Amino acid sequence: MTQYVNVKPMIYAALFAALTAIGAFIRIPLPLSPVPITLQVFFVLLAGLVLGARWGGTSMVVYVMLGVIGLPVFSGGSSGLGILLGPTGGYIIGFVAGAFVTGLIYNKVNDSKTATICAMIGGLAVIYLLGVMQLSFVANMTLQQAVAVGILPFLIGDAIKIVAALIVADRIRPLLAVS
Amino acid sequence: MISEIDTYAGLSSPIHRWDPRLKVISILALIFSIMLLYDLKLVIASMLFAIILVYISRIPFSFIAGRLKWVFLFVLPFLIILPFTVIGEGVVIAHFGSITLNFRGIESVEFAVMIVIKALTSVMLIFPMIGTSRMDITIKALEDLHLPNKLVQMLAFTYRYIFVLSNEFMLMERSLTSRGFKRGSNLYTITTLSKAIATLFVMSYEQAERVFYAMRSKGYSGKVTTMHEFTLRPQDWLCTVVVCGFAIFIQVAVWYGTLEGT
Repeated sequence: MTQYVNVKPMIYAALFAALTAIGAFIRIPLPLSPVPITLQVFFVLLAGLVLGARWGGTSMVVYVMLGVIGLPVFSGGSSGLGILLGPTGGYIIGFVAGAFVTGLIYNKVNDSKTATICAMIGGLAVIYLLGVMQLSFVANMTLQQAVAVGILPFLIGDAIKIVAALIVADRIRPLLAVS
Repeated sequence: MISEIDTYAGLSSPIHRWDPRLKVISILALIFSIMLLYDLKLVIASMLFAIILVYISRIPFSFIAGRLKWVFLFVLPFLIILPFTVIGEGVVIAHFGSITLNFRGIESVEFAVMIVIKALTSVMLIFPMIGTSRMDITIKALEDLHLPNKLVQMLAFTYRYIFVLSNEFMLMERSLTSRGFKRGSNLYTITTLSKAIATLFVMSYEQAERVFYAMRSKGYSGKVTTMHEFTLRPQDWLCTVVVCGFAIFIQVAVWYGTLEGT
């Protein structure tokens, strides 16, 4: 029985890791942006909201590890330690911190929609921060250039993801709680 | 969607026969060493070494090229952007507010090419690393390398779910297409795909439950079990020395080059 209780959150964490992997392949074109959105960040934020800081972060560690050992789960079907240490690797590392921070803020604040959105903005900010820092360092760019290339084109898409994650999280949380 | 990376795990080659534990550690060390490089010649040499490893592994280049094509498209923007953004003096081309685009000369183009080659080489090395062993054996090897047991179990779970879920999503997409749905830059596409993703989550949750109970009913005890037992042979150490030796060699070459430059 004890093992059953311990294994359940592991299953959910694995599930979110798998969904994040698949999210890299689901591209949705946007009316106001030249950059189509993928759903990785959506599942990262959702993992933080639904699983909490510890298991949300763990699910992203699993996702990153699968990519590092070679499964093509990163954006563009890429994988490997090289991608993690490359220009865009900061965003991938940021997924772990992003899910953790989203879960952490969400657990600290009340269950209102505003608080949930704040938690996701916090998580997203961490992803951007780590992403831009690594982009700037590895690609030898100034921080301004890294922000222009690595944040601005994705703002509209990520705002939509936050709204979508808010709606989906509301619906799936009872499902997980009942089980 | 996500293809089976271990499609060619059944072939026979020295890389296939190489102990998966040493193989994973050695090739990861090589990738790490390559990522630390900032010398185009050494990066090209590393790519040639990776091609030799792929050739020895007998994995068809067409299979690898299919994957590298997508990775190349992913890193292509860096090839275009980097020559204009690398820090340093250059010819001013345009101003966007406080951001200035400079062309930094041939060195910045070389830098961009190097970043792209490093990315492609690191992805190419993935194939000899885990494309030459069945995924369950690679996961077992990770457990033998003393990765935390829970993490290894979750890797195994996730690996299974990825294929189950991608199949579910492809079925959903096919079903939407058969009813006349076309992706476009509009609210209808976003709404429809959002509903599909929510359904995917519910289905995946149910699937996860079924997989879990199936695993338990088959005697799943929380430990990774395969019929495979690892044994280290002299050939395994030889392969390790060659690959790790190259990883060390390129770092020594960098160090030597730095010394000569001073």
